[in-house]
Amino acid sequence: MHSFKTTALAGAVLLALSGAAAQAAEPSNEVKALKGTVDELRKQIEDLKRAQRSDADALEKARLDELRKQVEELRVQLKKQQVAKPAEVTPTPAEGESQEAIDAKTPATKADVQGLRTDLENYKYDQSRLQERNIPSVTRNTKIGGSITLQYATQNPGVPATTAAGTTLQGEPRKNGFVAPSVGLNFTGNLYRDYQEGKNLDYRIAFLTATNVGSNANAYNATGKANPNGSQFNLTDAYIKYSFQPQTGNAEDPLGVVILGQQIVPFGQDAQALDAEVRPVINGASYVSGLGFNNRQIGLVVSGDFQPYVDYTNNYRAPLLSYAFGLFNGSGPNKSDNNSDRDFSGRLVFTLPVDYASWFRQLQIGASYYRGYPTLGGTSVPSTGAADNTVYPAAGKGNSNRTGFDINWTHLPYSISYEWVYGKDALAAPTAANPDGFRRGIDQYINFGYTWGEQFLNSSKQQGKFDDWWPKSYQAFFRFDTWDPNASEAVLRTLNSDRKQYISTLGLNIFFAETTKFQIDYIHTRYDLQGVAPAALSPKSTNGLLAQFNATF
Amino acid sequence: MKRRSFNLGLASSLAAPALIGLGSSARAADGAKPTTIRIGFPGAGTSGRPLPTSGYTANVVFLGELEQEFKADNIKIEWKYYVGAGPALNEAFANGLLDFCFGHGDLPLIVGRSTGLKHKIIASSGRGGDVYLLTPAASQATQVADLKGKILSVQKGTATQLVLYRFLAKYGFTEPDKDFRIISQIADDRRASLATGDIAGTIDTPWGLEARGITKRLAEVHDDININAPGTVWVGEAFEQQYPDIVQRVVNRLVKVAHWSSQDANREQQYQWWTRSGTNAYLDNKKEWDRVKDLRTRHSPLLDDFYKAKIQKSIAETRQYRLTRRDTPFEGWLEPKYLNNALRELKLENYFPSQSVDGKFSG
Repeated sequence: MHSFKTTALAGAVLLALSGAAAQAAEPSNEVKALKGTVDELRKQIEDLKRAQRSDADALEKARLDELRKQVEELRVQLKKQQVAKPAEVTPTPAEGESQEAIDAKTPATKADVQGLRTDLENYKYDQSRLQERNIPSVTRNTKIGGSITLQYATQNPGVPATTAAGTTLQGEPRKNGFVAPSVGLNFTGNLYRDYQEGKNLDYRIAFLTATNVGSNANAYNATGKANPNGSQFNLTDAYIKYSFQPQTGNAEDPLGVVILGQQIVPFGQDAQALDAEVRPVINGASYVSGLGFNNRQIGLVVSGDFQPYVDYTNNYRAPLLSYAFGLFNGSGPNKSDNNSDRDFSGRLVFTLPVDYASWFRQLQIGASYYRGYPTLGGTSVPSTGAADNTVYPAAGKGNSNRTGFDINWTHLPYSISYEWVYGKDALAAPTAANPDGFRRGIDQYINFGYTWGEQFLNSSKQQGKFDDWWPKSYQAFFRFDTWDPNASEAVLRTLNSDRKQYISTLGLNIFFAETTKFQIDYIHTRYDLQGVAPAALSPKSTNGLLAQFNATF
Repeated sequence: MKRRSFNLGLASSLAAPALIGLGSSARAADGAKPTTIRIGFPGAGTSGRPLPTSGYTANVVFLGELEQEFKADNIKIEWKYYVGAGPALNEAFANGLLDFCFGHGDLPLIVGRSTGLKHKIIASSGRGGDVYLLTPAASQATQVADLKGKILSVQKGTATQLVLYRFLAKYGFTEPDKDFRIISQIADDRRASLATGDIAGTIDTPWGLEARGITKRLAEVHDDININAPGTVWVGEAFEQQYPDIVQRVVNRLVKVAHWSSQDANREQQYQWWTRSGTNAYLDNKKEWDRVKDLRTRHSPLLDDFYKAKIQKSIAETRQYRLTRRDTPFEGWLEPKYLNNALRELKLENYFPSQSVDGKFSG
């Protein structure tokens, strides 16, 4: 641009001068003088052009030098920044920009990272010391659970005075009182975790105070037999469990486990039901204790299900067929076997494969069978004869059968369950009461329940809440249970415990926290006196009230 | 106390709670207005935080619109957040525990109706969106086909199940249950499985997880109308018949908030609110929603031709994938009068662009 301007200026001067020369051509002196002037000017222009060219070169050179200098300075600055601590960058917030937006674009400094690292190290140190000193530890994953049950009972007419062995000494009829607390403690955990398929190996150990019978058994007279002020602490469950079917959390996967050890026998509905929606009553069905299913047995059980139907749109899973088969010693808990025969138990439950919205949801039909080979004679007592303490002569091995049928429809808010169980036990020898040498017990009950509240809904239990929220629920029920402990007895029965009983229970359960409930049952029991006049020890009927807090953790 | 009177008193005391109808869901109503309005969201925040995740219906909660609307009437608003998502919401509604749902996905909505749940669709809760198929960060997969035969995770019964099926179909896998092992997990479990590598892939929002080094994107589609379906706002039929005025007031507020939510000036505020649930990081909300140039196209309450066509297509797909065994009647399901009234009252008849069956916006 610069040289273009210079050339244009020189051209213009030449044109102007050449025009003036043409007009003054005649006088030769003037022409010569002008010619000299033109030459002079031409020379000056040439000089000027040369001078300007050299200025431009110098200027360009100066600029180049300046640029080189700047580049060098930048290079030095860059090197300095690479080795020096970066300056804290605090972005200038735009108008109306939120703190979250500013945070999102603010880089962390090295000091920030170091601070975080220090905090992390402090936390690690703190945790390490806590683990050494204050935190209990286990070798394998373990969950500790338990329960506390506190009861108050009334009965009219009261429990008669007794001085009989094996009971609490009682000088007058007892109409009411607090019941000895029952406490359970259990440990469940994992021995091997299969991360790929969930074929895990787990264990469970459980203890129960006061009595080693089921958690709902009445411990009224059972406490402190050995030590008047003590309690029993009995091992109930002790088993390991292997999942032979994959358990990846997919509800469509069938379940299948093998359980080895001391455990509940898979028989019947009421004996195994842990869900309060299915079994709302405090005292279980009469057959549970009457036919010996309140005792754990030592053995091997295979259980699982087939073809689970899953209604994902309602979180509902209904296995078409559930099964459980087991082999047991049959001699009871915490004892080795007393013969070489294994008892057998089997249970099948069919569940209708319907959607959650169907009225037939959770309609289940079950059948159970148990065959045992008890040792008869000596001091053994047939399980149906709770009050029969007859000492039989040694007679070797007998057999006992149990058959059960149950139907259950649990369709919130309604629940109905019915169960029928028949038991037949060989006696060591025929007796006057059982001339054919067998004792037979028959039980059946029906239960109607209605629930207000969301206690039994998975969706509600898993609702997002900030506090220790739990859906409070109220469950009312009525149960009618008939139990004949010795259906084949041919003679008049003298004890109410041997007589046919009709037990009506009206109850209310209040679920007021996640694992704690209050239950109150009104129990009316009528005895078949077979025409005999009622007496103090054998009233025609009793009325009782049983209230309990049951808390699990 | 004599035995007879003792028994009578005892029986009465036991039966009394039943007779007076004890229960948390007891709702005394005088016929004109309910004491509470129970509104469910199919989801909750991380670890069950009782907060909504995103969308204009979530903003109704944050703005406290319904509380303001019904304060003078002394009607309580009861928000319910179901960790079990759409299926859990169905279970709650089937047991009479809900009046409204603010954003049911197409699959649980359709299956719920097919099994007899009675509700009326009164608005759309939003539409559109991007879908990302994520794999564990250490995965060797470079294309969707590399996941064939492996475990994919989705919460079955939710709208995301259908999204996954459509996504896989786009990549040539039309029988997803045969081509992959698809398991069911809730969102928190899916993310944990992604972190441990127990699953090969899942559908989720990527940025927050990528920033933590948990995942990487295998494939993604943006605003594909063949993959996403609109969400739905419904009211229980019984509630709608008993309290039509209340329903109208609820819908008025919904439309008002949809309008507020579609303003660019309110983008930032929404991103912050949605971060509170912990489900998505601020980064996720910003990256995902900054792509949306016109928020009216997402925060649309319209029950337009596009909405109707998409729900009908979803009904067909639900049968195609054998996710329900019954027909789902579409006729009589929509009740647009509340929405139309609200748009008219708020002078927003032409504000939200309607979408044609093929997804083109107009207006």
